[in-house]
Parts: sequence; C-alpha cells; structure tokens
Amino acid sequence: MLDPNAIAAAIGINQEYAGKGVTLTPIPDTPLSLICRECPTVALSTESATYEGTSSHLVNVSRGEEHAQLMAQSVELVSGTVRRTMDFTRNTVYPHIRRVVEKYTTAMASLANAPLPYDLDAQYVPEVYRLAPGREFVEQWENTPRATSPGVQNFGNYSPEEVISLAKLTDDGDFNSSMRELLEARNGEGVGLLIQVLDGRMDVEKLPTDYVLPLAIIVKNIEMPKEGLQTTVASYNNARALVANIAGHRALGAIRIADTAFKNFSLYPVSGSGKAGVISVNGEVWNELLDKDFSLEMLIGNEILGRKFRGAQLNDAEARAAMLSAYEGDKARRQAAHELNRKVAERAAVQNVLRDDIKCVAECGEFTVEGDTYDKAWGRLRDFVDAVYKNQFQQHDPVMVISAAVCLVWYAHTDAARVVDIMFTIEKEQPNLPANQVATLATLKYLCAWVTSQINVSVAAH
Amino acid sequence: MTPTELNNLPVLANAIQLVSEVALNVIGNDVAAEVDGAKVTQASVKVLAAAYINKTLAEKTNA
Repeated sequence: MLDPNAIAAAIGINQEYAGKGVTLTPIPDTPLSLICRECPTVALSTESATYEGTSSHLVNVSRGEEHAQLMAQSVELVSGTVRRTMDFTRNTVYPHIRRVVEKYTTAMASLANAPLPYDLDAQYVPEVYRLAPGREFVEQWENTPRATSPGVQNFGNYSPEEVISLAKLTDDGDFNSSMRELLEARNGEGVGLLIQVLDGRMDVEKLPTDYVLPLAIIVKNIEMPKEGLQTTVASYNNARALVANIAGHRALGAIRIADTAFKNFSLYPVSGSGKAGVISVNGEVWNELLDKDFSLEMLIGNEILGRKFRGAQLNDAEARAAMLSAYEGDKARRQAAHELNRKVAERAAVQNVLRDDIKCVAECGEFTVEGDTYDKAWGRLRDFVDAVYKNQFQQHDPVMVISAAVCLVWYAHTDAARVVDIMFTIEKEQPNLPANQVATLATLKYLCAWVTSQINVSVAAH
Repeated sequence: MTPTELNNLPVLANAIQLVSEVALNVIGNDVAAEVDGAKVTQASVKVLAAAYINKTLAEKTNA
C-alpha cells in the first residue's frame, strides 16, 4: 500500500511541476512501472479531483496484494544489490582511492606554490656608525694614508665580556648599549669574530664591515699586552696601530658610502650580494622610500626593467606605475608557467601513482577484472588519462580524476564509480560531514539516481 | 488537478516509497544513520528522497 507520507512528499514536487507541462512516465518493464500499474488514476475525473481526494484514492487502490507484493519484491531485490555495492565501495574501493590520493598528494606537495624568485637584501650601516661618538672616532683617519695589511696579528685571548667592555668608547649610554646590541646580535656573531681577530685566527681585512668600528675601538683600548704574550711593547703597539688604521679606514669608508648613498638617494649599493635573484638595497634609502609608499612589488618591477629608474625618479608617479606594470606582467607570466608546470606534473603524478598500483598488483596480487594483465590495465589507464588531459588548459579536480581512474582500471565491472562520484561530491559540498552521514546520503542519492533512471521525462511544447 | 498532475502523482509517490523502503532496509543496520544530526526515520527519509528525486528529475528536465 502506498504510504500517505510518500504521497504527501510527492504532492510537494507535483505542485512544482504543475505549471511546467512536465509529464513523468515510468519506463515499461522497470520495477517502478510494474508497481505504478497497481495504482492507476485514470478512473478519476480531473475536473473534480483534489489532492486530498486523489491521495485517498491512491491509498485505496494500492491496498491490493499485488502492489504490496511488487513493492516488497523490488525492495528485497534492490536492497541486496545496493547493500553489496555500498559495502564494497566503502570497504574496498574508497580506501583504495584514498591510498592512491595520499600518494598523489605527497608527490605534489613540493609544487604547491609558485615561489617568488626574488629575495631582498637591505643593507644597513649599524647604528654605532651613525651616532656622533662613532663618527667622531673614525674621523681621526680622515686624510691619513691607509696602511698595508699586516696579516693576522695575535693580541692574546679575550673573553666575550672583555670584548664588549673594551668596545666602549665613552660614557655615552646610547652608544655603549647600541654597541653591545650589535656585538651580541645573531647569537654573539660580532663577539665571536672579534675574538678570532684578536687571537690571530682572522685577518682584519676579512672581518665583516659591521664589526670594523668596534675592532678599531678595541685595539685602541688594549694598551697593555696580555700576560704571557711573546712580543715587545714596540712591536705590540705597531700591530695595534696597523690594525686600528685598517679597521678605522674601513669604518670611515662605510660611513662615507652610506652618507653619499643617502645624500644622492641611491637605492642600489655599490656592491650587492652578488647572489642571483637577491636584490640588494641601501637600507636607509629603502626605509625612506617605504615611508613614501614605495613597495616591494615596485622594486621587483624596476629589477625586471633593468633598474631603469634610479634616485629621485623612484618617487615619480609614472615611473612607479611602469614598475608595478612590469611586476604584474612578470607575475602573470610566472603564474602561467607555474600553472602549466603544475598541470604537467599533476598528470604525471596521477599516471605514476596509478601505474605503481597496477605494477604492485601485477607482481604480488590479483587483478580484480577477470583476464586482466598489466598491459591491459595500464592501457586502459593511459587512454583514460590521455583523454582527460587532452586539453592542457582545462581545469580538473585530481581527486575526481584518480577516483574515476581507479574505478575504471580496477572496478569497471561494478557500479563503484557512480557511488564514489556521489560520495566525493557530498564531501566537497559538506566537508565536515562525518563518514557515516556521507554514506547514508550517498545511499539515498544513489537510489534516487536509480529510480529516476526508470522515469521518462517529457516537457510539453508551449 | 490537471491531467498531468493526476498522471504524475502516483509515479512520484511510488518512486519516493520505493527509494525510502530500500534506503531504510540498507542503512537500517547502521544504527548511526543520520543526516544533519537527525536520525533517519520512516518519515524523514521520504522527505529526503523527495528532495533528491526532485533534484535529479529537474536535471533530466533541463537536459
């Protein structure tokens, strides 16, 4: 017997179709057509029929044994098939696809983003070089000849605390705290390097520019040789003077270069990092530009244009627009190239993970399709992948491609492809739905697809 | 009711009932069967079936 709840649910849809001229006819000899034959409505007059009356009529005419029997038979037959299909899909096909997708995800992990092929190297002169005591200290080497490097010199062993203490120039609190900050930065890199120069392991010429001012101050302050140092006072003082001269001249040079760059608004330093893709800039000028709404994108754009704009031009509105345009063009080209590479890699990864799967079964398992061999299965997969990726610009969801490929290669003799497709679609629409609810909804949707495949839909021409 | 409505109603009602009974039969063993936090019941499964059948038929109509 037809359930009044089913009729009530049907009325809702039927009213929607009422004005659209849609006629639904069960396809002959399908389970649905046999069941429908047991509850005809032809005896009713359309003029006097109401939904209420027709519902009662349908309940009455379907009270017969035939309707109940046909319904029960169909339910039993279909339930068994659907249960087996769902169980097989959930317990065998779905985990199989998940395994392959996992391998694919690992293979593609490194290609997730297009890396920016540029890096910024903003060169700053340490603060102690800009503070008055530091500048005044190095001015003593102005207009003096630069000494020839004496090579490594041994002034004895100094502890980190001694180095920091000797690098003090005056009682100026700001200067001394800036100096300590500089020497202790990057895990005490400065202190470590200065100890190496003082104990004769490093040549002053090789000391990074950031630490030449502290070195000049330190060698000026170590007036007495350390106990046990095999040297004469004259030789010791001569070595101090030479090292201080070279360090002082280098510090003075760094200050002059920074001053000139700032005065001339020179963004690019005389000597850059020399590394490919690294854009070196004078830190002070860079900061000044950033304050005036300059951006990293403009800097990269200017690099693409071969550093076309320099100095005050960098503040020009038209020049900035040209730099931005160059950046955007380059970005679009890189993105397109990356996308193309990704698609090529995506196809290769899909094909490889599935081929490995076939290989594994060919070597130590059993093919699910009777009479299958490695060549046959691989041939099906290759043809499928070729067809999917024929148009390299078309977008594909790799998970759906893998799912369809696994079903085609392994489970073409079952209805798994349809069920899996439904399950993935539900997961995409409702990503947080628990697995058992996905399965419940998939069962319902699968059944609805099955039942509607038994209905012919015709629309009356207006 | 129009002749079309009269013709369509038993088709839809039987389709909904068939889907619902098979669905309950299949997922009935799964005690956790629920949709959107609500347990799937005799009545609710028919509403869900009606919605999905409607959606599939609409796709067929548009195709």
